[in-house]
Amino acid sequence: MIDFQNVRKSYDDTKVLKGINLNIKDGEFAVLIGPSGCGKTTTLKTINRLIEPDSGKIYIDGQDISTFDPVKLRRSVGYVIQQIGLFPNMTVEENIGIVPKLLKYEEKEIDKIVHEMLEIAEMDYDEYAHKYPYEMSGGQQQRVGVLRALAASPPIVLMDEPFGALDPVTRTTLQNEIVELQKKLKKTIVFVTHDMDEAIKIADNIVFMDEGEIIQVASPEEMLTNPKNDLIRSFMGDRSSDIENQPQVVDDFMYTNISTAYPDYSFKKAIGLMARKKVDTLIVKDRDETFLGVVMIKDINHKLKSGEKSTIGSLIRTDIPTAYSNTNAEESFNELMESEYDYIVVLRANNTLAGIVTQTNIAKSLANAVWGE
Amino acid sequence: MSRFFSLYGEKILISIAQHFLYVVSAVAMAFVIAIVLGVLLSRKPSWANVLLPILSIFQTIPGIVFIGVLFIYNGMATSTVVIALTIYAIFPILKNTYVGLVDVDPALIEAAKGCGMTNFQTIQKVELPLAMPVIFSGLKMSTVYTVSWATLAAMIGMGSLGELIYSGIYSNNNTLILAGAIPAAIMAIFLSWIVDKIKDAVLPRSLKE
Repeated sequence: MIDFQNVRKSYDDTKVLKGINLNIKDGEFAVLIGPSGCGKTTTLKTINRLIEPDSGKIYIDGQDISTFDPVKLRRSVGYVIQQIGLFPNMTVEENIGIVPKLLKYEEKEIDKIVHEMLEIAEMDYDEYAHKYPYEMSGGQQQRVGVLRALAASPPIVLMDEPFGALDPVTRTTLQNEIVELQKKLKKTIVFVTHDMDEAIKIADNIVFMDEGEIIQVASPEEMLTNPKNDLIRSFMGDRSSDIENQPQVVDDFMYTNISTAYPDYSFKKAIGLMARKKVDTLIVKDRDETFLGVVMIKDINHKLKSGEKSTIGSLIRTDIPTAYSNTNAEESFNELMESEYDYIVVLRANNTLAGIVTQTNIAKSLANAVWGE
Repeated sequence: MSRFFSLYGEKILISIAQHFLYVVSAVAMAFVIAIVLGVLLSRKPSWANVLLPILSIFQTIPGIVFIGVLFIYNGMATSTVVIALTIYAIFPILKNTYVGLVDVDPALIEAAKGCGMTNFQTIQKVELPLAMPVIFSGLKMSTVYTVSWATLAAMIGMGSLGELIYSGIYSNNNTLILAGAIPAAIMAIFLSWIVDKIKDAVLPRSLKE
């Protein structure tokens, strides 16, 4: 249990935290949200003492953390940051093993932990353990960032906008994974975001902050139905107002900002593109914009491992669900729910690429339908 | 030609060995001192902003002036040469160490602290390794400079390949000048190749290029 008692912090004349009182229970997924400068990141960083409060106390399991050695405290609390923060000079294995190593675990034990961690994320040890961060896509990098935070089995994990820099598709996937992971491992997670969709999707409780104060603490459902003030209502978006204008065809709510590739891209070029765009898959199209299929990073890595050098044309998967932009929304939702992919590709009538629809899009529309007035 | 080598052969070999030892010992000491100073300065960038420009002015004092002054106090000794060369070799490594360290992404330093690293561990496991590519280019520069500065040892009668070059100049013996100059040039190229090899062996592949 984490307990904040009247925690205050100022920088010069600016009051960043104006007396925070907050209680986060064991195994709770708490999401701190609010406009920028509201103090959510500051609040998070007081928990592992990267920031020291001016006054007030924070207790973990009843013990005042200001009496702990900050270095020891941080080794017992997981921490994931937005910029991913993997050490570029270390391999995946070394990054995941860093906290156990600081805690002076034996080599054998560390090796076992690294295997276990990669297994949790369904990442093959032989394939990934000896890679450097720059050799992976953004999504894979942040998976490793999460694994690093979990490696020494801390009961509490702090996450500071961990998925903020990822593209919508990868973000959706990682959100699903973290929710599942938390259910399985029963960690107490404190998660900072500015994205209300994300908060609604993953939180047990949402802590809404503004100008250094907590405005409302509530479950997503409660906050959607009873937002305490207009600011929260506006953060909740138009979910509760425009049920009349609900999107009816997929075209109305697809993402158009997607990462595409041509089939004659080399493996290296494709991986480079994935790393830059922070995605796990690329949508492959012909020079005349005709949609061909998708290429996944695991397929490329697989081929690379067997020493093959070729173009991604040979790896195109065509089993990804597609829909035409004028398809009825419900129909395409059903297709997506049954698919093993996290998104469907939207095509125009002449089979050229229009965009994609992800599970987050669906969550949004459902929120509209369920909680709208 | 064979007469030249029977006359000077041994002298050339001794000079090469002397020169080589001057360079390697000075650069090795300079490397250690520069890393320590670089780390300290990177904790206090406000000091570095004052100190580094002053040091770079010192660097413009001709080597012969400095070695001459040191000669007055320390006499004709190996230590005079090595101290003078070390002091000159420090600056390029120090400057690059400082630049390499302050260029490390602050987000990574915060990640290191957040993982529970002490300040020393953050420097040792994250900051210095990430600054290494820049530090190595300073080391290479410093090594090549030191090979040429070491010829000055001859000015205070302490040997080195400089001795062959200066005696060649005074006695109008071009072959003797070349017998000093060519090994010095080769040594500079060889040592900078060695530095590159060490760099390749030490750096993880993510930090090459």
